[in-house]
This record gives sequence, structure tokens and C-alpha cells, in this order.
Amino acid sequence: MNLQWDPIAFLLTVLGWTVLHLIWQGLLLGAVAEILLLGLRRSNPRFREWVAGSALVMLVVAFVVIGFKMIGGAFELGPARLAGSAALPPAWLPALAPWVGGAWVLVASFLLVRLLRGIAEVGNLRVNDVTPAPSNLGGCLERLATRMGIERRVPLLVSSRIEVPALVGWRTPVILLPGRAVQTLSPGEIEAMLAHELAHLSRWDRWTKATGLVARGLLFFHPVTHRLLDRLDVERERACDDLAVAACGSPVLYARALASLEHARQARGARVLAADGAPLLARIRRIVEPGARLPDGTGRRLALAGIGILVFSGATMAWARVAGPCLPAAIADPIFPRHAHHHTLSPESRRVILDYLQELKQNGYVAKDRTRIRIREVTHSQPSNKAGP
Amino acid sequence: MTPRLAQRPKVPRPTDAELAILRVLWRLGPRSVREVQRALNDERSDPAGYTTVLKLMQIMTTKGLVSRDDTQRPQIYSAFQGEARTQRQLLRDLLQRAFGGSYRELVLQALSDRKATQKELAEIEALLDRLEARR
Repeated sequence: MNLQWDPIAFLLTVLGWTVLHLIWQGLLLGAVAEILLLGLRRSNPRFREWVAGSALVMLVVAFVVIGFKMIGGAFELGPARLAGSAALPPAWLPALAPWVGGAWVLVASFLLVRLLRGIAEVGNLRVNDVTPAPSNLGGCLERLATRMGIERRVPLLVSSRIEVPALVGWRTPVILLPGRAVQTLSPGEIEAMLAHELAHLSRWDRWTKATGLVARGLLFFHPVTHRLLDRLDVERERACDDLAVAACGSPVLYARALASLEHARQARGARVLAADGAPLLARIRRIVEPGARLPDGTGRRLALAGIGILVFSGATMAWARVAGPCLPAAIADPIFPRHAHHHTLSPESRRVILDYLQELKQNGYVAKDRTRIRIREVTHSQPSNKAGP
Repeated sequence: MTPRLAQRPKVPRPTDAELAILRVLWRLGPRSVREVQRALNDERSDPAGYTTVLKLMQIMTTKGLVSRDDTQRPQIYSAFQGEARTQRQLLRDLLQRAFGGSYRELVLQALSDRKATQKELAEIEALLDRLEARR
């Protein structure tokens, strides 16, 4: 048997197994996060943002940790060791793993290219077709920033290429205003929009958004990732709405500004049909008719407790013996039939394995601890005459 | 002599209907509107009327996708750009859209990408008017 140790196949297998394991762990973490978010539904959006963000971070951490554990434990004689329990994954799963890994690499590369091009487009956006904002708006921005307690001064520019005001850039951000909005909105309304963007600036929103992009690049395959990212976006905007309303003084004024902005960007008339709910209406309703809210102290304590639960569950799942589907035996047995591995090895199989081990040793392979134990188990076990795996 | 690549005017991307007409012109060569319409209706399931095809081809002439020969009656239309060039252009556009990336995912905007409907805007107006009247 000619041994060619293929590092690429190995890496793809590791990736594939990591992805497969993360699917069920992600579902569990996602379920925990949903329950926590439901419990926090009447509190400050900031706390829900913390919970959703922590869940996402734990997913990424789980991905990395499981990946490393796969690398450490992958020099095994069978896939069985990847499951800590006696329940084994079905026989076709290990063969699938490298293909899953390959697919992951393809899609991740594609997303990376898109990300880089997006970044280039962002760089383009802040330089081309922009004019400095009129000086009255600049003064307005100054006063707002002082009122909101923001020391950092960012340039204010008017762009003919965007429809909606945006905070653009990471280390050197600028605020871009759409040309049409500057013409059609009243000064009070423009000030409300500036307050919203300044709120984004004063929080760490640029960086949480960037982390979200990394998470999406790694964990694009899981629906929980997308759900959490959408949730994060929503809560981020809500939290900034709260800050902006506090700076403007009047919720109705701020809501008017949002509505006027939406009018201004409807180029050829508003859409007539929509299948999904009315998010702008819901957002404005929350601003002008807030309803009873959980006091911040309680909310903060709940959120921190929730984050603790998430960290604990995520860490336990990732660090435990990377157990496969942890189903009770009654359910697992028909799906994943138990094998007592070495007892069912036929003499021919033993011979093949021992030859393989010999060749590995000749090629300078040094087994890690767990593998050494397994090799000992196999080589010292009694051969049986049953048909082997 | 065909103009050098850098000097050739940039032709806009054809829509689906315009592409169908261009395919006929590439296959059959310069043709009149009536002949193009007949060729189109041979292959399509829903037949296009003469006036529709005429209107489309007039728009295509303004856009620069086809050129019109007015010296004869009926007028003869011919495709301005060859098939290979247009196909390359479409492929490039497709790749651009697939791999393009958008700034919208990377910046912090005041409104989401999804636009509001008429109904939603009307409800918002009503809500805000009601609240302002109450003060």
C-alpha cells in the first residue's frame, strides 16, 4: 500500500467535520438565544443586542475550538473516536466530510471576494461624487455632537450615489448624506438623521458590524447565523433610535424625519405589494408609542445572566469530548448501530491495519497519545472470526 | 475599418425582450420589423403584436443597440454589435453582479434597504398626524 499523506484532504476533512458538528451545536445555541431574547423583549434594545452578539461570538468560538480539536484528534484509525459515546455516526458520514469541507472552502472564498469588492466600493463611495455639506449643516452636526457628548469630529459630505444617510468607513468614518434628502428634508429632519448617525458613531457599531461580517463569512451555512445577524441589525438600529430621540427631544419629530426620508427615497413611487410585515411602521410605532418597558437594571441583570448561560452552553459543547449526536440510547441504537470496534475485526482486517501501521512507522509517523492507546487496543485484541467492518 | 476598441461607443445592456430581437437579427441578418416580428412569433408561445415590436425596435435604435436604414421602404434594422461581443458583455455583467459585493452590507444606514409600501407610508402618516393633533 503506497502511502501518500495528503494535507489538503486532511484539512478538508477537518473542515467538513467541524461544519457538521457545528450544525447541531448551532441549533442548540440558537434555541437558547431565542428563549433569552423572548425573555428580554420588553427591555432596552441594547441588552438584546448583547445577547444576540454573544450567541454569535460563541458560535464562532465553537467553530474555531472544534476545528482545533479535530486537528488534534484526527489521526485516528476510525471515525468512532470523534464520537465520545458509543453511538457512532452512520458509515457514509465520514466519507462525506471532505466534500463538505470542500464546499465550505468554495463558498467562503466566494464570500471573501464579495467582501473585498464591497470594501473597495465603500472606499470609492466616500471619494467619488461627493461634495462637502453646506456650512449650516456642519454647524448643526457640531452642536449635536457636543449635546450627545461625542468628542470625535467626522467630516460631513453629500453624495449623489446614496439614497439614505450612512456612516461610512471604519478607522476614519465619514457621514454621507444623500443629495435628494438634503434638498427635500427640513433642517430639523436632517438634524434628526444626523443624530441617528452620530449615535452609531458613539457606540461601537462599526466594529460590531465588521465582526458580524466575519461571522457570516465563517458560518454562512447555518440559518441561526443569519437569524442572529438580522436580529443584531434590528436591535442596533433600535438602540440608535433611542439615543437619537433623546438628542432630538421629540419622538414625533424624529419619526417624521424617518417618514420624510422614506418618502424622499421613493424614486418612482412606493411599492404597492409586500409579503413581509411593515418594519418601518413597527419601528416608528416603537418610537412614538413605546409602551411599558422593563427597568434597565433588571434588563441588564437578565442579559448578563443570559450571556452567562450562552457562554456556559457553548463552552461545554465545544470542549466536551466532541460527542456526536447525543441521543439517548433507545433512539440512537436503530440509527447509529453500536460497534464494539476491535471485537468484530476479522483476521484479514487486522492484517491490513497492522501493515498500514508498519508503513506509517517506516514513514516516520509518530502517533499521538490517544492514537497509541487505540493502536494497542487493536493489535492486542483477540481476532475473531466474525465478519468485520 | 472597424474603430479601435477604445474608440468604440459603449452599448447598454439589452433587456430580455431586446435580447430576443437581437438574436433574430444575428441569425437572419438585417431585417424589417415585420420580418423580425414573424420570426419572433415562430419561436415564442405568446405572440407579440406588430406595434409592440416596432416600439421596442425604435427604443433600441435610440439606445444604440440596433441601427436603422431609412433609405428603403420598409426600413431595415441591423444589430449594431456582434453576437460575440454582446455575449461577453452579458457574461461580464453577470460576474459583476455575482461577485460584485455591495457597500450596503458594510455601512450603517439610517433606513433599511427594503422600501416601504404605499399602505405602510399611509399608515405612518395617519399615526403621526393623530399624535401631533393630540398635543
